Amino acid sequence: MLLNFKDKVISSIISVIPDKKIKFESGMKNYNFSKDQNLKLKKIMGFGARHVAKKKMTVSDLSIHGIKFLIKKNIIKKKDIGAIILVTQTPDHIIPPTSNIIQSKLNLSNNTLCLDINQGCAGYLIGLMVSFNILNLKKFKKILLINADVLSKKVSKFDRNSHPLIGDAATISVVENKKNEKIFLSLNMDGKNANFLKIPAGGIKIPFSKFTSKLKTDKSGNKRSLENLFMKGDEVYLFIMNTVPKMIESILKKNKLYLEQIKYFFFHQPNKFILKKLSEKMNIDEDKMPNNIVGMYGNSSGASIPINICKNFKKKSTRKDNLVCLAGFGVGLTWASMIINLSSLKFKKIIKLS
Amino acid sequence: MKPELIKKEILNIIKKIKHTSKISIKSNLIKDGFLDSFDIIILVSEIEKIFKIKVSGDKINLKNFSNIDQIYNLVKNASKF
Repeated sequence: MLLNFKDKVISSIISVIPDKKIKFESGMKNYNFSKDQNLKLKKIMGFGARHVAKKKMTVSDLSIHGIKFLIKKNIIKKKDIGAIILVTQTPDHIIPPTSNIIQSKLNLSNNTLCLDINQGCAGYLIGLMVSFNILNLKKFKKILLINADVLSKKVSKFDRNSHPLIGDAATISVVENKKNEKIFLSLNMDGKNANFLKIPAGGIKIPFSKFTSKLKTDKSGNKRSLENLFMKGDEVYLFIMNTVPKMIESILKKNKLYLEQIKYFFFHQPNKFILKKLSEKMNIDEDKMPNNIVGMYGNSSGASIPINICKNFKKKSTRKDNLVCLAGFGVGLTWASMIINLSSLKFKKIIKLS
Repeated sequence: MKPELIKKEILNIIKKIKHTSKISIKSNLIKDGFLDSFDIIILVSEIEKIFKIKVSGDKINLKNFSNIDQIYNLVKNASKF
């Protein structure tokens, strides 16, 4: 579906990265590959360092740290926070919503709307869509959109499909009503292939048990349990290649825009190889489509696009030079893209939590 | 470069990646378990470097890497850079 929004802006973004850094080399011995193959993959896929949450660190810890920083620096006032929209796949508990826990720990008013959304790599765009719609109610002045995950806790260290790339992070974006160019959103879902990315156990259908915690070996030699993240890598790769270039072409064409008018393509960063193949397919220069986040922090699901913006966006004085295209794709399966002018982004920062 | 030479070169690259001499021109590389998706990524990177080509992202799937002939077709049809 194609949607558009009027006069909405992202005014600030803060990214909170756990201090704990793990280098690719330290996990290599657990992957069913030779040292030579591992090092080749490191280079091709851009496996570098991942930042992961400590044992007891949760989504609410990372989020609260970021929001307190925004309040302390006077980026946002408590009284102006109308809603907390939290997009996560790794909530603190099944019940209650983690957004309510955040509201409580920050002592926010009872008028604050708290909403958890279960989404992954396209979660920034889903979160923005929900935030924009809530802002249309006018009662809401500012929304804190949180994209946070501690997915590293759900990955088997013996699974080379996902372990070398999964990182943890939280980002908080301040979204508000303000004059801006029209925002275009393209959004698609395919629940038929939802099994390509899945944590099978731990919900109501398959509760945790001795059976679900048992490691099993797949035909590539990866070991994981039903409690771990499962990713059908080859199918996910094909899904991305078959949907993302067409989606970008279509959102530009339908809105009478040209590739050259877009100054940055801030895409979700699953790995460098996929980004390189996407940029080749779409004829986008690699310097307009940054791929440096996954090797620095790991793939942090829905937080990866806002981290990408924090790290790579350089605001220009001319409004038209701040037009960017965001794209996320993954769990669901979901694929989404957005064209938005970031001229109103007045604050962006990456901080650590130890 | 003649097709046979290209196929031989592809075979050598795979043998080197997999550290094995058991693979032949006739091998079914996927069914017989010689290549998985990560091996294919390494292989794409190697053939792009050696043949100075770019393999289109949407052509990288298990089917197109099931035997040496299929990989040869990919190399033949890839864009030069």
